[in-house]
Amino acid sequence: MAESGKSLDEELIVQLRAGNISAMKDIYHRHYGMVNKLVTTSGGAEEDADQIFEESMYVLYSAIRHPEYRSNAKLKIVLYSIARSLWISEQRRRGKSPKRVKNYERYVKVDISSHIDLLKAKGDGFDKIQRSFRILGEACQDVLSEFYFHRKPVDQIAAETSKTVDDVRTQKYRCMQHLKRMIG
Amino acid sequence: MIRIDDIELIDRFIHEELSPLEKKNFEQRVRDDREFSKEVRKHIEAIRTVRSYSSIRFMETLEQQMPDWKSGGYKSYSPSIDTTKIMLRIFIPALILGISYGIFKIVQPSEHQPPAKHEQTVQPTEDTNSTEPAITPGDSSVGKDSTQ
Repeated sequence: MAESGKSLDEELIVQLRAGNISAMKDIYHRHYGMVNKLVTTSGGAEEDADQIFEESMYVLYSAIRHPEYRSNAKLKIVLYSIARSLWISEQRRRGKSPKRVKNYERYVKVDISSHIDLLKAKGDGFDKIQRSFRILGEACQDVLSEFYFHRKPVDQIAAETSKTVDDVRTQKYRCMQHLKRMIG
Repeated sequence: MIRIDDIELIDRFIHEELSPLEKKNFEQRVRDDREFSKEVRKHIEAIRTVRSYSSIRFMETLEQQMPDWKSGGYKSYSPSIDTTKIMLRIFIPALILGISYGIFKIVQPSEHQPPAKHEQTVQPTEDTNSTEPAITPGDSSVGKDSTQ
């Protein structure tokens, strides 16, 4: 039973790394109830549960994209730990005591620093960033996002976009130089 | 202008793909070559911009997908930490301790039995201080509700 659980987790992680959105849907189907219970029984509303789940998915995605990502814990435990940390920090932000969080699962130490980056990105500078990116054009946005955010290797991007590896390398280089000139 | 090879070297550094020797050489070059160092800083700043933009886009995609996922429903949740497990974890060691203590108490008197002449017997005595009223046959208050 544990073995099949483990292999399913590994499969989901492989799919997530490949940027497969259906893997996220599968994780939602399996584990949203857990996050919902954690939040709604600790003073949160349904909307809070949705927000915490979305942000947990972002932190999980950021973590597993890292080549060094290794976790012996099950995906469920990792997701629970992330959601728990985010919900505690959200409660602190709202000035509530995090002691109210009830534990339904074992939890492990997780790094949620990518969430802080997300909050910063949502801050004041985002309008400027958006403007710079719109000028770059969609092709540049895609190649830079795929390489630097989704951490896809150049050959994978080439295969997915039906281009040669050299074309993608050159395009990435030109787009990056263009962006640097804009943000100056 | 920075060369494409140098850009790829910086990318490999940022993605932590350099070997220890390559990383050492890279860091040395950043210290020695001012132009390269400037390019590295600009490149890191640009990557930060790409990641910020992409993370917001990622969250927007999730928000758009959520209603669709919700319509598909989700599994009802049953916590892994259940009270039966917790109670068993408390009960089993307590039971083992209890049995060990019982065995110890059974074994102990046979080893350290005091001599017979010191043995004292406790005679049942009448408790004269008892406040409990004695129940005698035919007591009409027994079994009756006091409020009646």
